[in-house]
Amino acid sequence: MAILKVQGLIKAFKDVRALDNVSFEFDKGILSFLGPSGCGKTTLLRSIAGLEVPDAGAISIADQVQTSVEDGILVPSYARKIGFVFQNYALWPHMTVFSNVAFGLKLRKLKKEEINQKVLSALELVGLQGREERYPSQLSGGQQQRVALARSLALEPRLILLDEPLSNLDAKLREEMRVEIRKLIKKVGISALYVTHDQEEAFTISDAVIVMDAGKILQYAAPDDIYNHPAHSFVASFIGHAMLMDAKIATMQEATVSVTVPEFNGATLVLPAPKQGAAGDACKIVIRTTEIRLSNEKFPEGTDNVLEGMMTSREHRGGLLDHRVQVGAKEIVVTSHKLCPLIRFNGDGGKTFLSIDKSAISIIVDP
Amino acid sequence: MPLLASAIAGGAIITPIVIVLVKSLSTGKLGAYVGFTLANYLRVFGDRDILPLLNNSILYAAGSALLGTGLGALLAWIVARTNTPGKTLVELMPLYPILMPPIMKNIAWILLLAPKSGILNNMLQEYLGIEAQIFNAFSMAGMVWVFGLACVPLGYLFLLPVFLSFDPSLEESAYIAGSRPVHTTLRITFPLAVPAFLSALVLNFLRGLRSFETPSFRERREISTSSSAGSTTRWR
Repeated sequence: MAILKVQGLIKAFKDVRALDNVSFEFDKGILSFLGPSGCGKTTLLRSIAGLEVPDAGAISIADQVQTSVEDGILVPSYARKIGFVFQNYALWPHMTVFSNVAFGLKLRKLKKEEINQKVLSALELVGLQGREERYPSQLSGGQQQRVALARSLALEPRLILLDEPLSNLDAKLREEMRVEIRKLIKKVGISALYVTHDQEEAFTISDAVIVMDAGKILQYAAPDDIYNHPAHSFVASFIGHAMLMDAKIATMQEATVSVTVPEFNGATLVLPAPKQGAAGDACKIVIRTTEIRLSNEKFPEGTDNVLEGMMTSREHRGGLLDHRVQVGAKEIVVTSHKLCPLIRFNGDGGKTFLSIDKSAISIIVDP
Repeated sequence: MPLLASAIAGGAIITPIVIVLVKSLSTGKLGAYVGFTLANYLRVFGDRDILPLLNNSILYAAGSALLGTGLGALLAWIVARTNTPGKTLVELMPLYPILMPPIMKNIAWILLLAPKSGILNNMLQEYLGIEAQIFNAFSMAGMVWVFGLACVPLGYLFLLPVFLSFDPSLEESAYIAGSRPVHTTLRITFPLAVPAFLSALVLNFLRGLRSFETPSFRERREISTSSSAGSTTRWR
């Protein structure tokens, strides 16, 4: 049983298609929607919550149809039994922390003791015991976020949706909270959808990631897969730490493919073969620059993809070192840790050899 | 510069009040010093009619403040938070009473609601055969209606920004928690508008206490209010 099933969702705001035929299924764990602002990820989340009515398509939660434009079904948000954590927390300022968490429980006509017990255990879960009588304005941003989480979890929803819940926090707190939110969701054992534009956040928090752009799903895979094998040039450039270059397939072997790269003076690189494509096809390659090795001296025979370039400068950046190497028309920036420099760099530049491991390059043959 | 501005404004407002206060403590003509006395106050508060007068004043002020602020708040909510068709037309309408001279409004309502000659009563009689005079512009209800409408702009102006800047996610999170729209409006939306509503209500109540134009059109003495009675006795 899939907890969530989305089929052919379309939603347009005036001329802009916020959702362009979005379909996917999600079983359990934490799924992130990752993409730049305006890619439709929040619209998707709000449609799942019933806060937005799509122009076409269907959504079912736990095999129950919640939205179906074709069949004229729209279960209102208050009957979907889901949780939603808003970007700005959306705590009710005129209610105490206790009343905020108890609001939904009171609607279920539970006994008073039961409500008390559920509110207190939800607050304890997020580490806010003893603050029941505070008002939201008396809490810090991080604490407000926890109250919002407790408010959602107290209702024991079937699915919890989080809309950029950490974007209003400062960088340090954000890093702490994303680990904590993951722990919390895993502890409760609930399925979660998490919207973010921060790839690190998406990778840390989720079991699977959907990368979106312009209302379309570009890739739906585990974080590692998305990082190592971006399926789309947009995904590759959005994920970062990678260099996207035009290339042309020279020869296809069984497991590997050779491509020529004009920007590297037409050098040939060997990398794992793509699922589709044939010799002569234009393609793009993604090189993860953090995995390039540099050397003053020649690499031994048989080393993967050796290139030759000129090092132009080396810059200190905190604990990191940026090496700028000119290869053909392209400048490559290789970042290494200061303590384990990839290269002994003498003087002010000179001939440098680069080796790029096969597995550090992926190929994208955009249809 | 701000000091000068407040000195001028203060002077213009405070001077007449001081003069009236000083005059109220004296029985002589303005400028002629005959010593201070509480005789004027004793006369006013010693009057047997003072309690019913005050009672009427408060009833009138509270009634019209509640009616006007409530209507203004409702209109503000409709304009800011609903997709009612034609609401762009309604947007500025609640402000029109400000542009209208109060005397004109009162005359208009008297023409409509006067017990014998009022247009509405005549229509009821003509088309429905109702002999009784249903509407009475000179009753307490009639006065509350007329001045209540004058209170609408203030209520509207106070609450419109509250509803316009209202964060929709506060309501959405209530829906998600299982609250239906009506319950959400009552428990989340309206409580958040209470502070602005009370400010407008108090201001309208004070305006009602000092208002003069509507009660001054009264016909029957027994429903006069203290403020109008006070003002008219002087001219009698």
